[in-house]
Amino acid sequence: MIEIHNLTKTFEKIKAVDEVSVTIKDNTVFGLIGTNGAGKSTVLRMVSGVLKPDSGTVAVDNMPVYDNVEAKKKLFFIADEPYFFANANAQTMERYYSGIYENFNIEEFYKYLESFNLDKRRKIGTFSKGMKKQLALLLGICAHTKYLLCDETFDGLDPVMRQGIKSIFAKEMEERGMTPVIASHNLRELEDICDHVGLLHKGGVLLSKDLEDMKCNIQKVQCVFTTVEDELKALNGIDVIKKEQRGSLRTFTVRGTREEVTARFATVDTVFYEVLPLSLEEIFISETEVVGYDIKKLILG
Amino acid sequence: MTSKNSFWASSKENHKRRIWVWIITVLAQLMMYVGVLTVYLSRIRRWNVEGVYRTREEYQNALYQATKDALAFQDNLMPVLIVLAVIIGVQGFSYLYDRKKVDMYHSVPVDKNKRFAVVYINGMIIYLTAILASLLIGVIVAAVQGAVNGEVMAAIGLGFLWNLLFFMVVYHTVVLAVMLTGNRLITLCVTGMLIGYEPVLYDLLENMQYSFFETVSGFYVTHIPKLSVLYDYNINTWNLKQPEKVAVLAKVMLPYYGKWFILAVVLLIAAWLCYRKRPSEAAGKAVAFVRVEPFLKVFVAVPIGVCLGMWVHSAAYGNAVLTAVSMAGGGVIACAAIEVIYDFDIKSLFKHLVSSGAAIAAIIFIFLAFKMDLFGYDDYIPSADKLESIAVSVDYYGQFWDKEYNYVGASEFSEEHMHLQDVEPVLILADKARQENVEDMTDARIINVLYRLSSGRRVGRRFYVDFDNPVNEALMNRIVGTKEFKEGTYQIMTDQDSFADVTAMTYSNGATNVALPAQDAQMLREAYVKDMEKFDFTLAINNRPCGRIHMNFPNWFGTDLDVYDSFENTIAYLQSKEAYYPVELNAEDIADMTITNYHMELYENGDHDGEVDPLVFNSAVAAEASWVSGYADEGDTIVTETFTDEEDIAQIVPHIYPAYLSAAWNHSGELDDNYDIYITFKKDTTYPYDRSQYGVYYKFYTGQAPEFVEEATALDAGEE
Repeated sequence: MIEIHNLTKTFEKIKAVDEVSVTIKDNTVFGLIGTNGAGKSTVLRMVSGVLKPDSGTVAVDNMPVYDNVEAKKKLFFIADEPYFFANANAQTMERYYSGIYENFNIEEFYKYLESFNLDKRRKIGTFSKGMKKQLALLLGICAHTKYLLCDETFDGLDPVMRQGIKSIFAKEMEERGMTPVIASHNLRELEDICDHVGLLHKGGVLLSKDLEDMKCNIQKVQCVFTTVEDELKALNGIDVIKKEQRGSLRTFTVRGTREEVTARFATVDTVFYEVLPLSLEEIFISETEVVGYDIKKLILG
Repeated sequence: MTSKNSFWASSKENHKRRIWVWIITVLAQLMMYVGVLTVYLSRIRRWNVEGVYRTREEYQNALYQATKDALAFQDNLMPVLIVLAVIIGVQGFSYLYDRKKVDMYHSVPVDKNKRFAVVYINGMIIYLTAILASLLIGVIVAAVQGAVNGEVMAAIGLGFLWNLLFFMVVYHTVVLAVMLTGNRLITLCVTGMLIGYEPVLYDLLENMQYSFFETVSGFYVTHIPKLSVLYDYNINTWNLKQPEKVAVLAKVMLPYYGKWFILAVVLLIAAWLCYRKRPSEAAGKAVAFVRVEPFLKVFVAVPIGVCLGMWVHSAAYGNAVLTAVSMAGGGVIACAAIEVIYDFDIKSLFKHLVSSGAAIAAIIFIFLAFKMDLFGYDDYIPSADKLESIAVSVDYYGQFWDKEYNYVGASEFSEEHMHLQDVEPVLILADKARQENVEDMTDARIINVLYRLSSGRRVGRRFYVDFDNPVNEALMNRIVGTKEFKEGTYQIMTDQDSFADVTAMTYSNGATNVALPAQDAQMLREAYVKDMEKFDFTLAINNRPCGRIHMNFPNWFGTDLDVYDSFENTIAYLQSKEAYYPVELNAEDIADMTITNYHMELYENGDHDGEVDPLVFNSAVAAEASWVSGYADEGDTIVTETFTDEEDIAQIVPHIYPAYLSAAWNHSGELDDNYDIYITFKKDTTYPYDRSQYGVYYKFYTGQAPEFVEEATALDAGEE
């Protein structure tokens, strides 16, 4: 488990990260979402031990990470622009990382390289941006660290590659309990990968929740009531986050499980009602609007 | 099998990324050692073919010396070592400049200390491998040509250590500079600053002292950079090249080895501590530690401002206002430039005004401290009870050497050998000089003084003494007449051993040149030392030498011993060898006298009304003479006349004195620089004049040029 507590980092009077507290549970895919400048990279660089926090703590499996080799052995950091040695090829990089990470799986690395059609002898300098990100991801996966920290690594990958990486993630998580932490500025990039999402804005955490919890506890109901009394009765005691009305059609975003909400609406007289699943985007919009932010401006553009 | 994460595995990985540094270092060292050796040896062989060497032994020694010059102590090696140290140091830790690299290197599970050690040691391995391989090849090349013996090998060993320690100090400085900065260009600037700051500061201080103070002693140098390897290396490499025994060299070099080693260790520890503290986010920034920025700015801006001011001071003939304004202006410009460099942003010109203000305030304070002599530099005279001893130098700069016949400077000799305990006359003279005006002195001379304080501090000063003042004469006698003064001024007084090595001796009265048996040197020394007991200031200023003994020593050293009429023991010896001739010539021996009149009165009465410092009288006269001489090229102010008539010559002879015997002590105006007299002796004379010379050069005593000479050399003489 990675525990981040009251983490703060300032660069020349600019607070990049302001008292961030997040817990990253093992064997989940943690998505760190935020706009450019929200502090995602800074958080990841502190988690990976590159930067020293001004205050607060980062503990990887209960070990402080800064200047701690044992803690660093448990994680692999892929920066937003991964660095490869000058004139190096995939083989060179494998040799370097396999010399550092004790559990680096060389065989697996070359197998994956082949699957992704990456030539091990081709100079990395001639790779496209996407290919470089693929290589960095494969190096990170094959390093066999418990935590894989990816900073904007999925941005720019084509859907086929994304799917490929996703399946490798699933496999590695199942086989050895790998915990990927993925930072991105794009919510849609993470929707189908993450189990838990932390939303950063202006250096602070707006929310951090399990995606399933969010999905299970928030419902969208479309409904046409027979009478106003029925509407009042149905909504009595329900936490309504958002309410829209088009003619007689009402759309509510409410808290509660699907069963609870269905049971409540069944007790009143309606012309029609339907409980619909929410997309991650809709959940975020609802959740952040509650705390006074317009999420569309923040991460959806 | 080495562990995946072992030091050597990491080291090997690191070397893979330093291949170009390997190539440059090896090539540079091969060129500097093997290349230079090959050139030196081939030159010696060519000279041998051309017959430059008279004996086989001379040729052999030249080969040995060439090998030592190339492989042990080389003049040109210093810049190469500095460049290599910069390349190796900067390239090794260059990942710290780049955020992408820092993200990778600092996130992987490698111990920070281990990474530092790997990069640092690999740098040393690159240098050591290159130098040892080059030396090995060089020794083989030299051995094949018979240019190596045990002595040469030992010298190569000493040279290797000398260069290694120098390299280490510079390398560690570069590593420290990398840790303090986040950008290559700034690293180079900080490296330059760290290496050159102390010598530049000393130069600046010296320049300011000479510009603002009157009592600065250029003779006793008490300010020398103490921690600058550049200074040490420059000053000593030439000495180390001398053909001395290795044991002697080792003794000379040992203190430097110790000092450099300690310096290297301190710098390495500082670099390592900075590395430990260096934030990763410093990559790409100018300075790694924000808190250092204001101090760095002040430390750089102050000398830059002062330097600029001093440049203007010299260009504007000491104009104080211009100097102060340019110093402050230079400081402002430097502060602004540094801020721009810090932020890489022209808009930052006037950021952090507090530190800029501090720098300008420091500059103004420095200017005032020198201009107004706030610390009383020129008034400084220590009290007698705080003095341990004094060394004094008065107008005499002979040649000095040590037991191994290495060159020793006059100031160094005086410092080592003169310990005047009677300090009172020196302090009285210094106090008088403080109160008197040099313009009022009739024969003002410079006295250089080294005060050795009981605290161990050494302070050098100079002041003026009027040699014509009878009060001063008594005081000067208390200085010049002492054993301590003579021992610190004349090597003959204490050095007995060298006189056993005298290779040749001659005596001259200015015209003669009589050889004396070299084996008599010890005997002559004893006679001379006995006569020197009578030597004091009164004798020196009131008498001109009647002759001069010249002695040659090994290693091209030589000394001149002035003989006075009262030196009866010396003269007795010379007479016993039939070498003594009176200073006054015999007119019958002279064939002709060619007298040149420079007519300096034309210049002295001209526009230049002669604000001539009496202390630089001789050089002023020389300058005038050269001006006149230049003017005379047009053929109208120098008049030369040759006198052949025996009567004329007999009238001239009592009034002339040999220029060769011009003594430093005597009154500066005693000889007339307006005239030159060249004497040609008769071919059939038995007088032992110096036959190796075309003519013998004399001067008139001032005001004693006979009237007929003046008339014959007058400007209109030819017209009559």
